[in-house]
Amino acid sequence: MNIRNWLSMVLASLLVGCALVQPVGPGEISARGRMLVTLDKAWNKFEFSGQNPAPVSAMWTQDGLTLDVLRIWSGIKSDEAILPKESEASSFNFRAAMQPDELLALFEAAYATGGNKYKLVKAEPTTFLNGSGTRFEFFMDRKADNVKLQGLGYFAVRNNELHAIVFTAPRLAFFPRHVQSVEKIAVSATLR
Amino acid sequence: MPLRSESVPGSTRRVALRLAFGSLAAMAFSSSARAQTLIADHAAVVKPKDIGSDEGSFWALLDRDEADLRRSAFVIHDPGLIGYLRQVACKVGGAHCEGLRIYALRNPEFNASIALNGVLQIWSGLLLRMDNEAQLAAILGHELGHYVRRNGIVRFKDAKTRSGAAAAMGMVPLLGLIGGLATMSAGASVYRSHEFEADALSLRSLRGSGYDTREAAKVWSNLRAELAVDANRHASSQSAMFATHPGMEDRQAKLTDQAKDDAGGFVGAEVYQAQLEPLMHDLLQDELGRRRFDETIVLMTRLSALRPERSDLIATRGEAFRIRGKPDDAASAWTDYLAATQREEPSPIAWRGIGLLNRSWRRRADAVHAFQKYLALAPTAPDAALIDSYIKEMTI
Repeated sequence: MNIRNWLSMVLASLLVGCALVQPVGPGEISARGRMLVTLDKAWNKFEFSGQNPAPVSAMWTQDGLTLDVLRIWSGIKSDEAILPKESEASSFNFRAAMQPDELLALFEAAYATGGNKYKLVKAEPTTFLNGSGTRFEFFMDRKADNVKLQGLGYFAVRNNELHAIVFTAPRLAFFPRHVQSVEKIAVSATLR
Repeated sequence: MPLRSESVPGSTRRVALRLAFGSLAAMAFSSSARAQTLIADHAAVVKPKDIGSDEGSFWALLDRDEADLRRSAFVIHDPGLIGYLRQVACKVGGAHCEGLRIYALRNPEFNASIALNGVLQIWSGLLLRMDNEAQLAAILGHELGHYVRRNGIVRFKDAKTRSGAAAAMGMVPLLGLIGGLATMSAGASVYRSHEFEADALSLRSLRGSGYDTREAAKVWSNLRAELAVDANRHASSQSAMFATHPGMEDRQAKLTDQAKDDAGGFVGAEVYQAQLEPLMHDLLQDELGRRRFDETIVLMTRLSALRPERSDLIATRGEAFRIRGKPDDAASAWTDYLAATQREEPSPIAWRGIGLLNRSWRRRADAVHAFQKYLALAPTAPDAALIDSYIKEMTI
């Protein structure tokens, strides 16, 4: 699902009242699947009831989904896509044998879909989910509204399943405002 | 061109109005007179004085869009490239090039468009796919053909009528862009004759300005070869522009026929490549980012055959093979990477690819050697820390 479709879906869902916004945190909570995180402040969790295709990640925000989005994937199995199944989604399938460089390419493709301009700034090994993982930073120009975004992500593969969190927000003001909270979430993340 | 005749950005209604186009001026020409004209023979396109007229109001909307476009993060700010595009437009379009504002946009798909007010957009994916200046001139000539024939006016009026109907049905406010697209597509077939006319006008103007006209048809044969690798994907799914345009096969056939008695002319492969050179790294990265690996492999095979001395093209094909990951792809990637390292200026990504393949095959020493080569060639690469961690992991 590219960003334009996604924004359309968000708007349409809000218009018809099927988007459920639920505050989460602060404190330890179940983020998605088996992933537990500790929040230093409350976030807004969005759920889209009856969404088809079903969402494959949780979506949280501080200031609204059109501004900042924290996406959380947990328990993505081999050959499952990290984007909702659509006609072209097979290109976004996770495979358990993927190495960090391949996963970086997968997330790049996911965030570049719809014509967004993505530029990896940094990728490095890190500790995530109490084990080896990868941390990456990127810039993105969102085609739908021409907004310059900054992104930060963490991912790791455990028991052949992909777990990841990726935060994106406008480069000016919004990303710097929330990035420390996101770093804390990443550091706190564990699997049940 | 499979190019929309209009720019796209803007609000719902503006988009709906803008997404289609036709030709009013074309009606002023008899078909026999049209057959002999060049782009340069057409009257100058002037801004309407009456801003309250259909054309005047549309022109004003387009000007407003241009202000948005100018601020777009996707605009390629390369004065040398823009100057070159203008120079080619002037060769093929004569004085009409003076009215153009040319924007090269970073988008890996194949598209170009021109608006009634002279805003010409050309996407980087199209630039990557042109083999030479003659092919670029064919594209620019086609767009100029729409421009001088003022094809936009009829399409604007038609779109306005259709968007009015859509609004009456409640489509536009709810569906916005989607509704606009659907409305526009309903009239798409009407405009296809304009595409053939613009092709023919472009080809005559190419001939008149000394280009090799046979290159025009190759644009379409090349693109068809790319798209043919995915039998499940119709060209119209690649870009909305194809929905409003004749089939590539038809256009290729007509252009081939129109150029059949021509021989020679300026091609300009080297001068074109020199202009594109500063962008090549980004263009190739963007191409891989499409994740249309089958198409990328076809494209890189063609481009590397044209320019066998380059390491980046063959290395990019290696990347496409490696990331696609079908049976035997690793072996194909390996062959490409090795070939790329043997060029005069080896591509860093070839060494990274060799390292990654060796790592996956557990050839630790060879992997470390290749990664070290990569880091020596690209010490500030974004993934340098990650690759360094691979080296450490294998040398413990």
